[in-house]
Amino acid sequence: MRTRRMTLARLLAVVFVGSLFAGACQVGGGGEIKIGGLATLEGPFAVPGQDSFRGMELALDEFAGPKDADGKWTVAGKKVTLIKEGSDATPDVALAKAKKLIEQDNVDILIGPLSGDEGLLAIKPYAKQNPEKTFLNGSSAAQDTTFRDPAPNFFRFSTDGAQWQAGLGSYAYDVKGYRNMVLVAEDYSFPYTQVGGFMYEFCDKGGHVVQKFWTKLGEKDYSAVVSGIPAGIDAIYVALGGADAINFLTQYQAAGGTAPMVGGSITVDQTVLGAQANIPEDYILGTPSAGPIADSNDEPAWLAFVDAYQKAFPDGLPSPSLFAHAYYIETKAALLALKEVNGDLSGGQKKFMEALAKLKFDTPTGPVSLDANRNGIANQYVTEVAKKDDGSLYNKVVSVTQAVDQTLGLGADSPYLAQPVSRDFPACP
Amino acid sequence: MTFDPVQFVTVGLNGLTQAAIYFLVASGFTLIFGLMRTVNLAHGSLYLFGAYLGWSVGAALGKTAEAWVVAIVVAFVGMALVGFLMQRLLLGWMAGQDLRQALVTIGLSIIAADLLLMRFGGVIYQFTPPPFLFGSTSIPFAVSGQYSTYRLFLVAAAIVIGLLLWLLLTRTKLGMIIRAGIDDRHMLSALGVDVPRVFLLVFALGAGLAGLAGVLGGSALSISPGEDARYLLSSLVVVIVGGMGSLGGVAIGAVIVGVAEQYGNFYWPYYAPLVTFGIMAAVLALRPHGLRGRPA
Amino acid sequence: MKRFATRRSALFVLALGLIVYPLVVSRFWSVTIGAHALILGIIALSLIFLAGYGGMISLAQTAIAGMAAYAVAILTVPRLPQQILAIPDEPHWPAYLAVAAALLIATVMGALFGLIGVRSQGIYLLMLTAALGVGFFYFAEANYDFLGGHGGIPEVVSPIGYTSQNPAVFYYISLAAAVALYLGVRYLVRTPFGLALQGIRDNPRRMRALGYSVGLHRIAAFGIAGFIAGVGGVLTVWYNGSISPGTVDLTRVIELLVIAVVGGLIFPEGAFVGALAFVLVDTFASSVPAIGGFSFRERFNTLIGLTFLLVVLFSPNGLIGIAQDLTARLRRRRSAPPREPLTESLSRVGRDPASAHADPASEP
Repeated sequence: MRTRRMTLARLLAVVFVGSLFAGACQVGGGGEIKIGGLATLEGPFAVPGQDSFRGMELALDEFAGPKDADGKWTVAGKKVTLIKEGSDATPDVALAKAKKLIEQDNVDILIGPLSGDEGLLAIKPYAKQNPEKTFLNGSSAAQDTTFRDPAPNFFRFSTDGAQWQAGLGSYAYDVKGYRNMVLVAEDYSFPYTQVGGFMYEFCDKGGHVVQKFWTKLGEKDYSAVVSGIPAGIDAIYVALGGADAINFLTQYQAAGGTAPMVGGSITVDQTVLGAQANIPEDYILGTPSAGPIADSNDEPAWLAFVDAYQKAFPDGLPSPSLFAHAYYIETKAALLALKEVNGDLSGGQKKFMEALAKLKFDTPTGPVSLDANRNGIANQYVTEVAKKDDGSLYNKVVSVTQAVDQTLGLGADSPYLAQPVSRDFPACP
Repeated sequence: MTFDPVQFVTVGLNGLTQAAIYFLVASGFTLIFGLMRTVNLAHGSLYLFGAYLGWSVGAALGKTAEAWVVAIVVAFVGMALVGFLMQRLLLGWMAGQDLRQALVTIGLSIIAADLLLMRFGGVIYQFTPPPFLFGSTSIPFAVSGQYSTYRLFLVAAAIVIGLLLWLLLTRTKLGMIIRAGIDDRHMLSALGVDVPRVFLLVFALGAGLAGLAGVLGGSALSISPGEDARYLLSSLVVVIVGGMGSLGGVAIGAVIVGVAEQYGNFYWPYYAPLVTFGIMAAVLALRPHGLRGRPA
Repeated sequence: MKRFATRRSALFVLALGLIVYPLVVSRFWSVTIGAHALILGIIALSLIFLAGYGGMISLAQTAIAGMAAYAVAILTVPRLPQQILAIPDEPHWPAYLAVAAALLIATVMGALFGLIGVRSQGIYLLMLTAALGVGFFYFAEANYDFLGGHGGIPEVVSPIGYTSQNPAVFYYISLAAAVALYLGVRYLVRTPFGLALQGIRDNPRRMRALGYSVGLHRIAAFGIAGFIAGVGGVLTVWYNGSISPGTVDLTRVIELLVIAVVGGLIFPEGAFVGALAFVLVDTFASSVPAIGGFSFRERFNTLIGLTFLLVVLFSPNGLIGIAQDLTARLRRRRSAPPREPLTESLSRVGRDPASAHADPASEP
């Protein structure tokens, strides 16, 4: 017993002394700017996560390049390092990695996260606890991350999930003629936001969403949903992630379901349209969707972006995803603002944050600026699935809604915005 | 939610499908435990590994119907080999130390999960069963009058495999040895049976079943990281409810758990897990060794 | 006499180090390493108490800590998330009341789990508690009436504000709790209850014959372990500033087991040594440069799994066991025979009652 306690004492003593040294040796990088990148590398968003880091590097190469021998970029005469951390779409891990980046790696600027819950439930409160560091969004698109009670040092140039659906609700009602729909979406903040964006317009026009099916993220077994979808509906609004969507659609088809679909922003992506999925082509052709980018956009800025992406990442996705796009814009914003203040991050980064708040610039999808809550105002695209001459499927641009803000043009007093988006709100059964 | 008899039937069918997969996975688990008292907590990893292996082979062979059948065979044989190696190189040396074996299998499962993640990523993989299993079949009382053909096939497959296992256990000499071993291991070696060899065979068989289940189940529900945890947990619950070492127990347990889970998810989604665990607790309170289990 | 003096001074150095620690290191080291290790150690202590002294390996301790965490979150959070449907207004309880309620829940649930598993032994109990523990995770994920489902409950503020803003104070609170619980366990195992529990661990049949109620002792032990885990849970929710199902998922359950086994399943100190080792490896794995394309930062879990496997294969008494062996070898003298690894002794219990006897190296 004495032996045990003594060895314990010695063990811990050694460890503590060691860590004291290590702690004291934490040198802050003077004259160097550290950017932390946070994206999901595990779980259902692993592939988008990898693409997010590609977007960041693309922006760094373009605006702070070229990389030197140590793998560092340069902006305003200062070296820039990128430190990446991977999360798994849960707030817990996002928080732990953010702490690692900010407190252990001492990053000055944190860009991320990818997923809605991470942004709303982890990064936003954490940003409030660290007012002297700047937090830029990755692609997380939950509405309330900036719409209600925002953190003064959190900047989202990439727009939220409701903005991404601008124009879709009206399209479903007017052009497609849908009147009664049900929806299937994952049960967390980002799909709530997407659904909100769709329903603001659809319900306003007089449409009805008779039942909502909320499923688990990464759910594989949609038998309960498929069994519960009532007969006689016009269409299903599916706001599931690509992988979940494949599962749901396959099972829906196998059960004899025939109602057509309206897709969320990450629903009819490359994974669903690709040959890997077992979904019949005639079902998927014509599916409308909406989002911040469109595969078939033919504006020169977008084409140049796609070109740069394909050249830099020959083994990346065939075309940059909205995740690469979002992280690219956010990183570009950070670099432009850094240039403007000449790399001055002193005084709690006040000057830098002011520069960010006033920033307006052009992205591959048009101009972007920030509103009073530091949320982006940008263009959004409505698309439909179409077939190319070579037989492959893609998202064709149907219309572009210009300069969509977080109220989707409804104004801050709209009754649709009176409550936060949730499972039950908005509702028009 | 208003009660709709048609939905009720369909949800019941969904439960049977789930039960089929649970049966396939848990049967291997219970054989290994019943005979060797080894709780193989890497069983879920075998499910996932087998599924990935089957998928890779199927994809390499062009995703045809034949490729799918080959995938099933490869998954079974591949995981049987892995199981054989686990028993031969690691677990066999710790005979009798149940806890240590369980901890070793936990360590293996942690490593396996991470390496599989590294190799296959976080993406969801889908299988391509033969076209005649696609789509739906007319079932009189189901929603829209249709039900997924593949799921019906899955239930049939589970029944067939269950029968084959039962025949193995009751009609073959090996089966007799296994049943005797489940009853009394020490007597078995006293009778001159090469016990380590039987253990190897049974572990291989159990592991192979898990791999097979991986392809069959994955074809219905797709695979991704996290499936290993899910099927390990359900194996635990099924075997706790049904009883260790009993094939009949696994069948009963699988049906109870699968059906209860589906009804719970459908009618009481916020509390569905409590249904499963309530059943488990109730069974334990009344019969601590499961419904068809026997005291160690 | 000399040995006594060196032991005393070593303990003194340790105590001094622990107290002075947050004053000399950065916020990250105080909270994310120091306090975090202490909190994990507390929850691991509950597991080791049950395993080492009760002979019962419970993988449900993570879940019980989670229940306490959820209780504190629901009762004190300034604003409940939208998803929680069954609680119309925030309870806004004062911290001391919420903590008391949380600890009560943890103790009762611990005892309940003990009741469910009272007639199960050894490996069967491990499976059962694993199922119960992970079951709680699934329940937390599914339930939107009280637990907020997938997103959990964010923005939980402790009585001293966000803990990362008050690193030293939070560290001292965690340290105080850890020391108190550690000493409490050490004391408890010498009481008649503790001795009876160890007797039940070694030979339940004999204890029953002597008139002890084996079931009640086990249930009580589970309740006590639940209380300890509950303290860990309260500190966890304050540490994170939020609670979500991810805090109690299978990965965390296994992590706790790894901490306990690597530290040393039968030594209460092992809980804290294991937790510290785990937290340090977790933090530093990301700094180790990739070896031949194999990045430890990303393959952290493989590292953990390998370490765990090696410990189970070669040193089932964990780090403390290794330290004991080393010290004994260095001194060429054995003060007491080393404790038999838990994995061995538990395998014998219940199998051959005639031969199962009390551990030779019992507490002096």
